[in-house]
Formats: sequence, structure tokens, C-alpha cells
Amino acid sequence: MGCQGSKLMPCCWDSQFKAAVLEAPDIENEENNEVDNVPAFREFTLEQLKNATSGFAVENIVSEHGEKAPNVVYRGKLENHRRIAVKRFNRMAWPDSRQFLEEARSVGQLRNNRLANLLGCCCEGDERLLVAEYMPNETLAKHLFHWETQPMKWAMRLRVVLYLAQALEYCTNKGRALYHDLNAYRVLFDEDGNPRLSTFGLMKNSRDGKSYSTNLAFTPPEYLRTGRVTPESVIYSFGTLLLDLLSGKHIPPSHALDLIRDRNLQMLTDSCLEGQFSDNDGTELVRLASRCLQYEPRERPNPKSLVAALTPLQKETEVPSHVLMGIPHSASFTPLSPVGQACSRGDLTAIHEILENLGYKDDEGVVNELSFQMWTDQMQETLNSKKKGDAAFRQKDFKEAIECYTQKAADSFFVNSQFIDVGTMVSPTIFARRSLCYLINDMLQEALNDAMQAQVISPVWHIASYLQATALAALGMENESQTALKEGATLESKRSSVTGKK
Amino acid sequence: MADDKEMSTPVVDRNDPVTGHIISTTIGGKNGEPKQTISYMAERVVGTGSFGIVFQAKCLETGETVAIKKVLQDRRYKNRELQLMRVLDHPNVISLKHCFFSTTTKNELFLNLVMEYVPESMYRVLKHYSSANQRMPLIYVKLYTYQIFRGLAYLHSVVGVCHRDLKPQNLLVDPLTHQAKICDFGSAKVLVKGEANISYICSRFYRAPELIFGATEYTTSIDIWSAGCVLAELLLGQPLFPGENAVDQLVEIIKVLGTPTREEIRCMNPNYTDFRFPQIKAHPWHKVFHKRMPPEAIDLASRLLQYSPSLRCTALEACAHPFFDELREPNARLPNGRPLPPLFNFKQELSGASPELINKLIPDHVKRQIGLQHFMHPPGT
Repeated sequence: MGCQGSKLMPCCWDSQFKAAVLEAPDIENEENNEVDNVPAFREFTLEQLKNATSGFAVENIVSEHGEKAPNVVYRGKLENHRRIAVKRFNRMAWPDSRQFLEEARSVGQLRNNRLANLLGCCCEGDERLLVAEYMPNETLAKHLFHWETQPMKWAMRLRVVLYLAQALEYCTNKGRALYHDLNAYRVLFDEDGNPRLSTFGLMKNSRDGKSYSTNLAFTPPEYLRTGRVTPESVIYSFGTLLLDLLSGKHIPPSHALDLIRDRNLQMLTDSCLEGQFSDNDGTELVRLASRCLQYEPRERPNPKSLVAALTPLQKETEVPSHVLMGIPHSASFTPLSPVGQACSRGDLTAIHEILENLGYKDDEGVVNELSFQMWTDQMQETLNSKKKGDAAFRQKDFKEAIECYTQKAADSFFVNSQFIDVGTMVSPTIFARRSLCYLINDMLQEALNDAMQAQVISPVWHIASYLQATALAALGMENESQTALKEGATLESKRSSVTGKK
Repeated sequence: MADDKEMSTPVVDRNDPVTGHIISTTIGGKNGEPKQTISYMAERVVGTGSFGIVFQAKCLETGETVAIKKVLQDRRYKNRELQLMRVLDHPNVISLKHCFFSTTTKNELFLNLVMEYVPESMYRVLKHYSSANQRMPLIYVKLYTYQIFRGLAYLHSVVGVCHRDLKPQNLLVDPLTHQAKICDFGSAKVLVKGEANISYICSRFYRAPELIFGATEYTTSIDIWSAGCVLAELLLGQPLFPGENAVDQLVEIIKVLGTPTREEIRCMNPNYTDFRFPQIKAHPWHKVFHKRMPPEAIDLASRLLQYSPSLRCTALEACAHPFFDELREPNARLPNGRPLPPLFNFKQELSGASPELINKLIPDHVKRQIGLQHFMHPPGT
């Protein structure tokens, strides 16, 4: 992490960042009517997306197979604190930049709360990136096939298929009926635990023609014949999703149809669903699945009739999705740790004490500085200013601390440019400390900048998020502050579960 | 000890190298039958293993070539392989001709199973194609796997036995007639529902995932998995899941099929549901199989290679799969124009099968030949 973060220069960052924050409210005003609070589609610069993802840090990869996959999805955060998912295509995926932009703009016009909406794209040089709303609660595949705490309830499974049918109906009405490789990994859960269809699947470059990445036994028969997807192929794949939800297993659809024909429903059904639904309910869903999986494309239902068939089947409609899913929700927010609470209250004295006690323990990967002492006088001076800064910080002389830390930050930048190898000199802790000093001196924007810089260097450090929350609250950005607080809490719990395992 | 009333008296057998060695034994002499001496001249070793050796031999009296499997016999027990082989009678299962005991100068007792000799194994046929950098023609893939499933249908449903070590080395092929036969019943066992069995059976590449999970209450569907692996290997020219060790074997399977779901793990071994696996999405099968692979082949392979044992199709259902429809065509022939080996002379293996399945299994032209067309078709068709 160190090297990548240290290449971003703190001095340049500041000016860029200020401009971006000032711009943010304008973007928010261009809201679309169909959903609240989703900005209009826009183009991003590569620089903006680099910053948003901490330089496409490995830690921010949320897609499978890590870095090795041909297309990688990163989690990120825009300057206005909106959380995003960034899909970075491999170089060959979209040779024609105009086609890419046209497609992205078209999908970017869609706005619906059944979709993980496409917020923008980036097309610079060889780079092709898509930006969508970030969905914090994992994929349908995870909840259905690889659940950890509880299997998905029948009522929730019914809700998932209805919402998906509604998503497909919306896309169809808007002239974007072709969805590529609809499967359980394309369905994501938002903050409220509601399922949403990823818009990335609406964009596939036409050249490679490979719409399906799964076992061909799961693909529509006409795709095997022609290699093309049609709106009816999407319904076939929706049928395989119905089977997934019913069985909790990967059953080839042709085989599932045989079981259905032989009325062998028990073999098909997920054992976790025992006692949760009546035979009638099950039969109705199975009937719908068989219609979707018809060999003849024209015999399959359209999205509108799917919605009509699924609506009356809904159960426990008054229970919110996050309750059905057992997902902690913002309304029932888990109690914060002492550091989270201090930052939430804006209790600067308490934060100071915590940071002081924490010392530099979280500067993971920072090379033991003693070894540098042998180097040059200049290095020695850098260390001295850090030491002076630490002393001032301890004695609550915050102006002096800012001065010393700033000296140190400038020096380390200088050191970096001369010796890339010692890039790990940049310390997230120093930025956190200076951020607190700025807060105490009522220099709120500077405080926020430092807290963000700490996160750029150390993307998974919860303190960086907490300090952002404090600074944002002081700047009057309540919503953003809450988001940052939640993010801090999530990072902290992940961190403690990791250290707990060790 | 094995019931030796049908067995000839032990012959003394020097512990010499096999080749050129002559063993004589007598048969008959009971119920007024004339006693008869049979001598076998050992010609070459065709297989060795922990069990002992298999050698090719010639019967000096009849000139017939046979395979003799010679295994050390524990005097305290009956030999399970012998007990089983005595009842086996199917065109796609190797048949036992005769058996006798032999002793060595060290007073070790050996059981000699004299079996019909089939010149080639699927393993060698596969090697032949891969060394020539070729794929096995699809017609042979169909012909061989169909016969394997027919043999399995007989073993599973008629004899009630699970082979437990199906692999290309244990599938024999006659290069002239292209008849295929399942051999080596050294691991085979009659599985009884509710009774535990050992899970450390079956060769690595062909082991069903529930065996890797240590399941002890498995069923004959482990043979179906192995047969699925063989089908894939014939199509690909190399093993589908070439694991380097037991754990790696599971990783190889996950790479192709994706991580088993919670429900699938429960189906394989309910004690393993708390196990954590890396979450890997199924590998695109168009990267596993080449582009022009017929969809029926992929459909059949995916029905055989299911994590949930109960979802794998039965051997008889596999025989009825559209992938084998070409073999049921009235004018189906070997590439050299000769007729196919017998494929539809079913006997007891059809008992218990649905009329629909039987209808699919016996082609119309065969029904007409045996006068079944009225009897087999449901009324009104």
C-alpha cells in the first residue's frame, strides 16, 4: 500500500480536492425524477477515479478472483463522499471509445431503485471504466449459496425475484431489454437490504460476443445455436435464477425441468426452506420457472407478466428487507467503539487521548525508522521534526505540532521523490494527528483533507474514516458524516475480526 | 477361506518370473463330469498393483488367450472380488472363466482369477490419441461411454454393486469390435443403505467430491461421478480434474464447478457444513471444452458432475441421454462400415425403469426386430 499512496502528492491533492468539494452540491442538484438522491450520469477523469479508489488499491477490489480477473471492480469514494463501485475493463474490451461512451451514456440515462444505477464512466487512453452506485451488502450468490449466519428466508427469496422482474420490466420499457449473463452474482443488496440489478450487465462490448461466462449447460438454447442474446434469452436466465432461489444449488436447467416433469420437487428444493412455504407456493414458482425455461423463446413470458405473476405471491411485505436478511441497518446502528463514539460526538479531547495512546501502531508496513538514522543528515532532520511534532502533540501545543508535521510531510515528500524505495515513510498516523490539530484550530477543510489523505495511504484504516466523520459534521455535512462513521465502524469490525482470527 | 468346492485343488507354483511359466490345474470331476486338465502359459504381465499382478496367458489346450489376476489370498476370509465376479454376467462387464488357487514354496496361497482377455484399455487408447495430438472421434466417445453406463446400470440395479474404482485403466476396449468392458472388482462392494463404508477408495482424479469430504454413507452415484470424469477426459484428451493431492483434487473440481453451495455441501456430507471454502465462481465451460463441442455432451457432463449425489442421473438415464441418440439411429455403423457392437440387448437392467425411459432406450428399429413396437408404445401413438 505504501508506495502507491505515497505517489499522490499531498500539496497537489489539496487544491484539487477543494475544487471538487465546491462542485459537489451542483451535481447533487441534477437529480433524476425517478429516484431520489442519485446524480445524473457524468464523465469522470482517470485521476478522479484513481483518487476515489486509492490508486486502484488491491484492498479495494470487491469483485472475485482479485487482480487476476479480466475486469476488476473496485470500491471507492468520490470527493463528495458518495460511495461508488468502479469497473475497470481490460484494455482489449472496448477498442472503440465512441461505442463505449455511447453505450455508457445510454445505460446512464436509466434511473431506478431496482438498479445499482450507473453514475458515470471514464474513457481516457486505453482505460475504460464504469462507475455505479456502491452496494454494501454483497451478492445474491453470497446470500443464497454461501451464506454465513442465516439462509435466505422464503419471503425474501420471493421479494428478490419480484424486484428483479421489476428491474427487467423497467429496463425493457426504456429500450434496454438485453441483459448479459444474468446470474446470482449480478444481483446486489443495497444499504436497506433490498436487491438491485447491477447495471454493469447492461453493458457488454459487442465484439467478443461472449455474453455468458458460465457453464453452457446453463445458457439459453438459442444462445448455443446463434451465440446471440435476445430479450427472450434474458427471461430464460431469469428462469435459472428462479431455480437457484428454489434449490440453493446449481442444477442444470434441462435437468431441473426433468425433475419438475417427474414431480420430483423434493429433490429440487433447498433443505433450508423446509416448512417455510406451502406446496401451492412452491408449485407456482416452479410453474413460472418452467415457463421461463421453455425451449422456444417466444413461449417464454415477458417481464411484465413476470411481475404480474410474482406480485400476488409476496409474503411478509410489511417487514423491511434488512430485517428479513438479518443485516444491521443504519436505523439500528451497532454501538460504536470508544474511538468511533469520540469522533461521532466530536469530542476532540477524547480523540486526542486515543491517538496519543495509539501512537504509530497502525502505521503497518512503515519501516522501522531507526534504520534510516544512519542515512543522511536530512533524514535525521525529518525524524527530528517528527519527534518535535510528537512532543508538541503530546503537550497539546497543536499549532506547533501542525508546523512540525507539515515540515515532516514536506520532507517525506521530498524524500519520496529522491528515493522511491523509502516511500513507506509517509505515515497515515501523522496525517491523522495533523487532522486533529487542524480540527482543534478550527481549520475544518484542512482537517478533512488530512483525514482523507490518511485514507488514501491506508484505505482500510478506520480512524481515517472516523476523523472524516468528525470533520464533515463540523462542516455541517451531516449525511456524509454519517456515511463516513458507518464506513469507519465497518472497517473497524473487519479489522477486529481479522486480528481475532490471528 | 473361499468355498473351494467349485475350485480346483491348489497347484504348486514356483515363485518364478511370470513369462514362459506354465501353470496346470484341473477342473470338473464333480457330479460325474470328467476331470480335465487345463494349462496356462503365462505370456506377459499386463498390470501390477498393490493387489498383485495381472498377466496375459494362453490356454495350451484351447489356444484361447486369457487374463489371469493373481492375488494373495488371506486364508481366514473369502475373497470378495471372487464372490462378486461369480455372479457377474453382462456384455459390458468382464467375465470370469475359471479360478484356482496356487501355493508357493513359501507356503503363500494365491488366488488366480482367469478372465476373458480384452487387448486394450481406455487409458492406452487415450494415450494413443494424445500422443498423436488428436482427439478421440466423437462416435467412439459415445460408443465407449454408452457401454460404460450400460455396464454400470447392470452393476448398480441388477447386482446392487458399486464398482468404487472406475477409471480409464479399468475400462477395457476391444479395438476390433469396439466393445467396452468394466474390469477390476477389487474395490467393488454391495452398498447397503444405512451402513457405513470406507471413504478412502477410488483413484484421485475420479473421486467423487463426497468421498473427498470423507462421507461414509455414499451411494452408487460415486461411480456416476467417475464415469462423468471419464466422459470429460475422452472429450478433452486429458483428465478434467488432475489434482496433485486430496485437497488439490477438491480445488481442481471447484475451479470448474465453482464453490459448492451450502446446500450442496450438506448433500455431500452434513458434518461438513461449517467448513469454509474459497468462494470461486464456476469456470466458463467454453474454456474447459472446445467451441464445437456438441451441447448434448456438455449437458450430459453437467448432469453427471453434480455436487449433490442424489441429483446425478442414474446409469440408465445416462444411456437414454440425447448425446447417445446417434447410436440409436437405424443405420448407425462403425467408421469402417462394420456394425456396432450389441448395445440394446437389455435384460434385467430394465426392470423398474419407467415405460418412457424404456421407450427411449430401445430404438424403434430394434423394437420392430424383436416385435415390441406395439407393446412398447403407449396407446394412442
